[in-house]
Amino acid sequence: MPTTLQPTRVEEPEIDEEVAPDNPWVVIVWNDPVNLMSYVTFVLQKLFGYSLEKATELMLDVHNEGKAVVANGTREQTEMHVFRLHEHGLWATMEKDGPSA
Amino acid sequence: MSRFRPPIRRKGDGFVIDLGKNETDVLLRLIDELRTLLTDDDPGPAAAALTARLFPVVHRDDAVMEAEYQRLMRDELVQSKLSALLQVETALGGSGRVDEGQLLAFMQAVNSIRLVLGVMLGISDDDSADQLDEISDLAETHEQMLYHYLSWILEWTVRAQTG
Repeated sequence: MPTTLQPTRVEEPEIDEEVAPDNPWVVIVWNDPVNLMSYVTFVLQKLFGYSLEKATELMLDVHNEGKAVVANGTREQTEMHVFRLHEHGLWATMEKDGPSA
Repeated sequence: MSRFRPPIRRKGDGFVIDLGKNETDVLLRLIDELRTLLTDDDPGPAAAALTARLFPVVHRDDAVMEAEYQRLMRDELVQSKLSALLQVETALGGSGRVDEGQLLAFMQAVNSIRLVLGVMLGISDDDSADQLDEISDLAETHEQMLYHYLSWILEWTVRAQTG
């Protein structure tokens, strides 16, 4: 065990996986067979201001993994996100961050 | 052969929805049918199943929170969808010139109809969606043709806003 303090490399968490304590709710978009991939990507860009690359990555997570966390926030913020996703016909749910999210 | 012009395209500081009369009439009929479904206060099981996909469960593991969410938001979501339908009717009944908000309403309305058609066609997973795409044009049912047509329209609507 070293006796002097050594610089330690800390892995930065991915932004979309980080949930601050005061933003404990997450928005989950689920895969569905009807919504077009280009449409889902566009909606994620439009509603959350994501870059094309980020929105595409999230869309592919939804498509390949079955679901993806696309946003987090307070309960009120998350409810509004879910509502707007439903206006666009995406299959979105919300839950408190946890192992199943 | 004249040059292909996308059915939805950017024009000036807005967009134009440029569908033929027959296509416009079909779309207006579908919008009317969707409005009937959305405004039915006492739908039977079959009608309720058709629109269920438009109103997903939000809190999957908490019935109390789910009931509260639906009590507060369900009617608002219905009204939002009805408002989109009305905006599309207005736009299609006019010159076809639309602003960004009207095109967004058009996109939402077309997608809502696709989701309902998807239920009618039994598209329940990616495999059944792929199977639908493999059916030859000549063997397609009316609903399958509509579904593919609306997919094409939606694709162009996205392209118009991103291209």
